Amino acid sequence: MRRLPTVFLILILGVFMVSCTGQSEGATGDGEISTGRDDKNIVVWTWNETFNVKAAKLAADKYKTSHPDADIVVETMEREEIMTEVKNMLSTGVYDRLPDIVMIEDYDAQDVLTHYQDEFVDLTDSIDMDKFADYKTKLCTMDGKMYGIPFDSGTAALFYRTDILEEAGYSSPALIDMTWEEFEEMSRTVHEKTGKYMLTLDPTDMPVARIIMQSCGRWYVGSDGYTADIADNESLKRSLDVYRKLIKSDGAKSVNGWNDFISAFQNGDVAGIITGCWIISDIKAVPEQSGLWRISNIPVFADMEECVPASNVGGSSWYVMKNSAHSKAAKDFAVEMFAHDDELMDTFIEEIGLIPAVKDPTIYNNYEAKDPFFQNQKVTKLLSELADEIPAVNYGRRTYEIEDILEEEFQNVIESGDYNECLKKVEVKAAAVSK
Amino acid sequence: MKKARDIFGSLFGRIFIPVLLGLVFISVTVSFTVLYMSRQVFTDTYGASQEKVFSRIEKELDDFHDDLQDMMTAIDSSWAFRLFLDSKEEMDNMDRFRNIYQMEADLEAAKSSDMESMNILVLGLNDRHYLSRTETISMTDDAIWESAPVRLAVDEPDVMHYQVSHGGYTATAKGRDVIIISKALYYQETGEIYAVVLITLTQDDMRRFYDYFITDYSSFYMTDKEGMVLCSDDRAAVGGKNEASWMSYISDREGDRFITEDGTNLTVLRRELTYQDCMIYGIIDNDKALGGLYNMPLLIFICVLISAIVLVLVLFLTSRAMLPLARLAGKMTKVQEGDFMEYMPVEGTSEVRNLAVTYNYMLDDIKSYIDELMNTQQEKRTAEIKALQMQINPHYIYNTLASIKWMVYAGDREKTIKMIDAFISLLRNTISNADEFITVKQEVENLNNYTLINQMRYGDTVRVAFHVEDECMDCLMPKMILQPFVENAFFHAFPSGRKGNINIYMEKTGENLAVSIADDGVGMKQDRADMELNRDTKKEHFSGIGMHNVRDRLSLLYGDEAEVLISSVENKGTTVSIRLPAMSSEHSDDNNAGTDGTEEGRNGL
Repeated sequence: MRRLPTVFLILILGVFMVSCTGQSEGATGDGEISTGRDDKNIVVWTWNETFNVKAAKLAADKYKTSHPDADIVVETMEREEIMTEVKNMLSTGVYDRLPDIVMIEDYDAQDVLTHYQDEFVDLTDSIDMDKFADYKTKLCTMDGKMYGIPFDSGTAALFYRTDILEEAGYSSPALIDMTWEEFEEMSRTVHEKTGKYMLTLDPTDMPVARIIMQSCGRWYVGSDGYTADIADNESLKRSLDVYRKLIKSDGAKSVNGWNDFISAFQNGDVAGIITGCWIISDIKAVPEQSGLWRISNIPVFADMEECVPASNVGGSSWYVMKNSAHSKAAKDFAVEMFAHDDELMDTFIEEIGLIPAVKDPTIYNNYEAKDPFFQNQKVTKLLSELADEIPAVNYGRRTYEIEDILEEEFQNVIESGDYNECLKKVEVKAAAVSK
Repeated sequence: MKKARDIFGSLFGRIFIPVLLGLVFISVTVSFTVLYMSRQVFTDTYGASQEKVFSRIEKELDDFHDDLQDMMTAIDSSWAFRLFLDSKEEMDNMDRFRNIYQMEADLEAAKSSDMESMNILVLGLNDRHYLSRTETISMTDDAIWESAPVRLAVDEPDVMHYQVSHGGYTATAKGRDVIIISKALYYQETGEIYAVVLITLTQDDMRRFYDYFITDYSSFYMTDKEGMVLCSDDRAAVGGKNEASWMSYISDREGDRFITEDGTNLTVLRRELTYQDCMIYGIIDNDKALGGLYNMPLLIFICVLISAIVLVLVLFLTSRAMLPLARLAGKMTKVQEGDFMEYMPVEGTSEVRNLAVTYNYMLDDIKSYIDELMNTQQEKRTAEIKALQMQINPHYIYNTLASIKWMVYAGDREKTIKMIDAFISLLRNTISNADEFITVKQEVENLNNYTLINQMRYGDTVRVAFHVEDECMDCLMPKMILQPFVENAFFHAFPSGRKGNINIYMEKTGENLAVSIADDGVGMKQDRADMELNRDTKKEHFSGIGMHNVRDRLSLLYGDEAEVLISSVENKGTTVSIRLPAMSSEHSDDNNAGTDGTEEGRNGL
């Protein structure tokens, strides 16, 4: 009997003290300064406000209607910046500001996967690989495991302004199945007659060279992905020739960077664009030009049999980071929206002109939709059919590094036109970086 | 309430409470002293060490500024940029193609490695722009020229200006708080401005400068000269004026390091970035930092745990030491109740063993003393009774013998024999029989003999009747209890030959034997009757035993269980009621075995 009150006393004392400390702990907890990114949010990093960013936001909005708790933040970044930042974070192992989903361009995919395979969520069992085009799935795959969800096809096409061309005396049929010689000729004429250009070319970024190479089934590297294939690369040599002729003849406008590239056609300075079909969203960003544009296949070299009027440039896929704050929720979101939701894909086709990188695009309702912006062409159908003909190449891991070298050396021969000398030099340097 | 007082009053409580208070006092004072001292030391040393980190931030920001300065110079001195931004006329397409490449190459060469993806916009007065990134400009040229950073740069073209802005010039800066660093490029000779360089840095870009300073309890602020927060880990503060409480505290003070004393205990580090015309502040929340350093719950847990262990030990040891004392206290209570057989086992500490031995010895003493006292009392009482029994009045014997002599003279032989028989029986029962207790039957016989003798001597005007229940006959009662009352009735209730009756009733009521001796004599006043009980008897009566002797004897034998009452009404009569415990004769035989023995011994004398 005598012990009982003592035990109570100790208990009460203990409970009192514990509750005191508990309170003080809670008080300090509230005032904590948050480090890194906000909690709760699934963070998506992508580029291009009219295209990828818009797609991600549409997906986020749709996902939120079925998952009211989900909180998705889409951050607009620059493509190169995403690569730099993500690689920095992964190499230092600092994950507190790592985004959950990143968009990676297909040229960079293999490089990133080789170095940081374990940093990405393996999606092999979550998505149906057979749904997507083979050349895309190959780029997202490493050691037989799929890490990316293929998004847009980079099917290359020739986009042109019918009004300007008509002014120069060309009608639409003339632009179908052209040769590069015909295209050069046309460019010159257009500039002479209208003062406008047929194309923009950027000395710091050479997508047209890449388009030409792939249309001939070649690349900076061989099919193994790392042997430099430059000195004897006929298609590359011919593409440099196209560049040089177009610039010399004032057929193409020299522009500086992405902003100039976009504003050139948006301002109506140029009559044509040869690039990936993801540019449609930027073309459509100027509603006044509706009905003035058409789409055709790209030119070919008449004397090269392997050359087809179909190629690819750019194109990207979604990747989910394994060690980010909300990796699991992000995976659910990405898989449900970008891999399984055909309805959303239809929305993308309509809203941003997406050409889905799938094997059978006929499953989408908007597949045969006519687009009044492009004079009622069946844009999706047209581009999807082109996509089927794209020769598959192995991009390897050093596309942009090799291109930097090429740009530098190209400057030296643009006057003389000594491509053999130029490409030899490039090959030596490219071989050094691609190993 | 009483229980609580018991606890505090007990020896246990007196040990436990000071120990508890002592432990709490030691825990609290030691903890607080240590905490207070280490808090001082911590604030000083941690502040000093963080100051070094802070100096590194300052240096890196300065280095960064130098890098930017170099880059500005490189742009300014690049012929490609000059050509691009200078000429009003369209360049030859081929030249432009090469020029563009050269600009890129010049800028790449001027950029330090950590500026790889920096957002650099060069805006010429000839409406040309150069943007280092793969993105689009989201503002018109006019709007850019009107923006605050550009105007600042134009006003003061010699220095770089750091400005905070919500949203920048390009798509990726949209909706973000960015820092725009602006610098105008101008011709050295004329001072005419030809371009503006605009560098846009996001908060994340800036964070790498101060990230290693940031913890849960330290934060960083960079403000321009107007106090606008350019960048901070506290995102909510960015873009607004810095109005934190510590600002007002340190605003008019000299020095680099402050410790605020307004209850928050912050260490504030301050540096002025002269080149950038900015201030940087490092805020360390010492309370939070200490909270992280000291695991208060653990500290308190340890204190409580140790206290609890000590208290339980004290509890255990004292209760063990106290157990024999508690047992002793219990035994003493029993002794109080008269049980002298409760000895203490000799065990425990030496003091307790001594106590037990002494207690047992004392208990023995008390017991033998009380036994002795009881014996003495017993003997004294027996002697008293004997003495009372011996008080048969010799006058009564003379007078009775004289009466018998007269009867012999009168020749009434039969009557005489009767008288002598009664007298012999009476004497035998009173004098010879030393038993203290006799049966009711014997008592009735004695009273009968006594009555007979009295009637022979004084005539039979007073008649005596016995009404005794059969079941009373075997009950035991002390002898010579009733005789004094009967005698009293004979000689006082019926003066001068008055006729009357004396009725003697005996019955058993429950456990008691009730006897009443009722006469219908003259009676008396009740107060006199009460006095009568205490009066001595006259010499000529049978025994010297007065009524007060009867009462004394009864109380000696039975205590409170016996009582004697007299009630009397004048001219109506007097009733004496006696109540005493009923004892059966079989039972009393065992009880009085000892006394029988003594009687035999006396007979032998």
